[in-house]
Amino acid sequence: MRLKSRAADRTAAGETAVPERAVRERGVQERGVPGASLRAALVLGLLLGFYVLALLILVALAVLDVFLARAPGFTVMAVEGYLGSLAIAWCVVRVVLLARGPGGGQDEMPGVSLAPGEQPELWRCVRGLAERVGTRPPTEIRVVPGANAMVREDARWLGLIAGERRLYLGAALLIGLPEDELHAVLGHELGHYAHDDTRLGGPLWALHGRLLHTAHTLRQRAAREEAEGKARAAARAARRRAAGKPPPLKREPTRGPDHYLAHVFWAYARLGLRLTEAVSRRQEYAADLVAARVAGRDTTVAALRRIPALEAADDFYLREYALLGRDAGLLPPEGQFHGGLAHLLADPARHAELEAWAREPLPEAISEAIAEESSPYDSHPSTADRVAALEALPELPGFPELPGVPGLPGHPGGGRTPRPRRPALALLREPGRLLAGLERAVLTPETLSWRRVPWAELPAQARRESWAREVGPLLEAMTQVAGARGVALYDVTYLGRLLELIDHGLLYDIADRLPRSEQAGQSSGRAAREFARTAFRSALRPLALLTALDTGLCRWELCWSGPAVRVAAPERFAEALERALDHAVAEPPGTAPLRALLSGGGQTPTAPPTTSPTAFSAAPQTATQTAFPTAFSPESSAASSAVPSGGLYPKDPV
Amino acid sequence: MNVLIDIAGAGALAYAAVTIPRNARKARALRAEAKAKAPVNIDPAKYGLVPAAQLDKRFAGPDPEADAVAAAALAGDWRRAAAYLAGAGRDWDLRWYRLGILTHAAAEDDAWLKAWRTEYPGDPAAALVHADALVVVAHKVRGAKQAKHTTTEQFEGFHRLLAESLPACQEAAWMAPEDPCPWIAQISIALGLGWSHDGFRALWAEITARDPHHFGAHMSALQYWCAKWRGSHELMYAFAEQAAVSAPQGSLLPVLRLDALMEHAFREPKAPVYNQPFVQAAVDATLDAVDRVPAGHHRLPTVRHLLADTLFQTKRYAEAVEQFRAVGGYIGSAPWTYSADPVKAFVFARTNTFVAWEKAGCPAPPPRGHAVGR
Repeated sequence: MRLKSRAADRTAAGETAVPERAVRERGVQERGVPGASLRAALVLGLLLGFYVLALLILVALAVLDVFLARAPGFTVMAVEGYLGSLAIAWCVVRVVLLARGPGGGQDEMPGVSLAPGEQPELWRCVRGLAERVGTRPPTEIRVVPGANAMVREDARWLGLIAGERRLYLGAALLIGLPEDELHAVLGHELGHYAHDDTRLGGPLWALHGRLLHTAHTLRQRAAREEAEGKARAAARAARRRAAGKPPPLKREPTRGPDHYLAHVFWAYARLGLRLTEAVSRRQEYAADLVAARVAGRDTTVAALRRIPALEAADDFYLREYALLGRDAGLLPPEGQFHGGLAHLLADPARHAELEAWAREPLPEAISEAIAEESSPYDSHPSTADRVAALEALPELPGFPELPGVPGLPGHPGGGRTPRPRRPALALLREPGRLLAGLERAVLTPETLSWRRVPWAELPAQARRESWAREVGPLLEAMTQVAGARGVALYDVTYLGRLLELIDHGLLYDIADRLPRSEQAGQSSGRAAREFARTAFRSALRPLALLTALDTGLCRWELCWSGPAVRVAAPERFAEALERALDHAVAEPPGTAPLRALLSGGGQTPTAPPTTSPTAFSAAPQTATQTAFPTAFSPESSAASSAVPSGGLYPKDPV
Repeated sequence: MNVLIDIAGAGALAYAAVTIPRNARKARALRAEAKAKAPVNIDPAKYGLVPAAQLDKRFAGPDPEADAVAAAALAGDWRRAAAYLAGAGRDWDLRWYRLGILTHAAAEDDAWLKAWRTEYPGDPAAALVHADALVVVAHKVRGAKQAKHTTTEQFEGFHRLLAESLPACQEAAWMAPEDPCPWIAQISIALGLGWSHDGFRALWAEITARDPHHFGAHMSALQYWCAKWRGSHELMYAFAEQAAVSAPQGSLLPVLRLDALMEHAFREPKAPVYNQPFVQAAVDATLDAVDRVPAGHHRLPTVRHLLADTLFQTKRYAEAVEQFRAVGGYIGSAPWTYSADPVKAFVFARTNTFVAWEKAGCPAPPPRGHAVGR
């Protein structure tokens, strides 16, 4: 098996040499990938160099000490030199040589492993592609969240012996990519296998972990030392202040050896990362070539362009839709936490947007938002560079079509014949069950215990839950006041009962029992009463909205094409509600507008609130007129003051 | 091994021999420096001053009549309050001052005001107190801190009350067309709602048409032209200069320039505010204005506080000593109220003034010729 794959590997390498030369001639910045042995030597060399650096420091210290010992006579300087070199040597030994790296091996990604028996079509596709690329297929395929695909190989003996290969596929790719573009993605990943890019994954991971861990540890220690020094100085100053002495002399903070060692090892880590990531970026170009040969150049370019858009869409979907009920502790139906992305992508407006992105380069604003700044430490080149490199190629000769590999598209090199584009999800059997399994693997048990709500009801339910929580203190205060005053309440709804209490003149009794802010607690007299009014109005608002929701006056609906939640309310409901709330807390309070607004609309949900048109239409005019500075001419001021006192809050229409 | 111990011992001794004298020297220098920087303390009683603990933070100066009226009003006697306000007659600035006394009582508790308004619904004075009290309560709800330290809740109450107060002010103005007070009350609304410059100038025209040299109106309007509200340093200085120049003999308006200086210095503590060329002349003009007004003038304490601070800042200690003595035990006025700890700010300025004055040999203040541009 290995022999065969190596042979195929060689042929693949031989074939890729042709287009690469072509690319070089076209001036695209692309150089060959160093061979596997060279790469292994680089990684091992860097790893060794790390320890050699540490040893060099120790040796240099020892040499210094010898010179100090040989110098004639003993000076304070010499003693300080000995002590200093001992301290530095201890730091090196402690941090560099003795410290443990961040755990062993690469961390496992949560996801769902697909058995060949369960998903034969996908496995057949992957195996067929692997055969065409000429490499050993993976032994495990895992579906993970996100719009990303990657390969790993558990090679042993520093990559000398091939190990188990794993392929990770992001669920968003399966949902959002057409089948042929998924082939391009798979071809790219299999290309990494074919070039043995994954062989050195283990040592490379160990090297990165070791370098970054050491540099971070040294920096942390330096920072901690500095903070401790500051704290000591502050404590000393405080002690002296308490004792009535003048503050101690300020000294420059002394820096320990950690600080300087951190500089040295940070520089080394940067060197190592630059070298290895440069190699890894070249590997990406090479894997793109394989993908282009498997799936066609244009399909690969389309996939490369579509994936960042898909990533953005997936992020947006998770934030705005899947986690819509986060505050209320609600989840979409089973299998829809990741799978709901399909609804978003199926929406015509969104679909057109994403299609446009996949066909031409991303608009600058969006590509900046995804922050594709290329830096020498990136493991991947930017999408624009990869697309440019691919587009500079002529249409590639495809890999030979292998007999006995069904389920694959026709020859992609001449793939100009239009084929129906199936979504990649069509490769899967029972995708719903798979996505449900993915949820169980990814979400925390606490999140999984949340209640499942159908998509259509999610916005309304989420709002109901959070408002119900917000009005808790108000309802409690209301019950206490009603009990203490012995007021009999007849209304069936909470809001109705509350408004009855307000009519009884108990607004401030209730407001006094609401939780108070710090500023409100410090106020007194009329200011305290105004704070109570504000707090009461803030608490009344969710109760009014809750009533509007329960009576069906307003509906909160899910919307896949615009903002996630759309409110279906009577015309100018929002303004009318704010004014009615103002009335309810005015002096004297008027509850009629709120009652009218929330009860009258029940029968005619689309009609504007017609119960008290004078109150609602007169108020804004008065407000604009009086707030407008042209009102200083005598006529208009007389006109506006003809409105009864407190013109912004006209008397109750009842 | 013995050699090593010897080395270590010798090293430690040498280290001690070097560092101990050095540290001792440093500590001595530090003590001397700290002594020079230590706050100066004087005994207020020796100079006939009110001790820090007995300073009154509420008022700018003594006014027993106002205190009695406010107490009576809070006890329910609104008739005395009404008579007090009416007693100002057509001295609009005195009316505005007395309105402030009543307004602050009404902002604390408005039961007496409600009784007054119920009994005489058409009384313009009651409507005026009601309107101005709404503005004062609004600013109390907002608090005096900058916007970033003010909560949404505070702003919500602030804007609701300002929205209520504007029609109330307009109603009061309609009931008493000659009285500038309902218009002056709107300056605070203009600050809070951020009126445009044109809108504010229209309001200002209404005020100056009724009283062109109203002291309280000018102090309020200066706030609008400050950089911290809706203006800038240039607009503020221009406004103060214009008002001071056009003020008649016997007006205290020259103090506006000092107020502007104080606002500038408070906003930019590092700027050389008091080195500007016009400062000495502005101080002289204010001193002359203070000399001309009768002794019991209701605005004298406010002016003296600003004057004392400016004299201290410009190092005219002999004259500052006079003002600090005249101010007595009241500190409820700018610039002290701008500080987080008004007592500390006041005592600092006063103490340093007296110490510096004594150092100079307790000179008498230079004679003043009561001539402009001395």
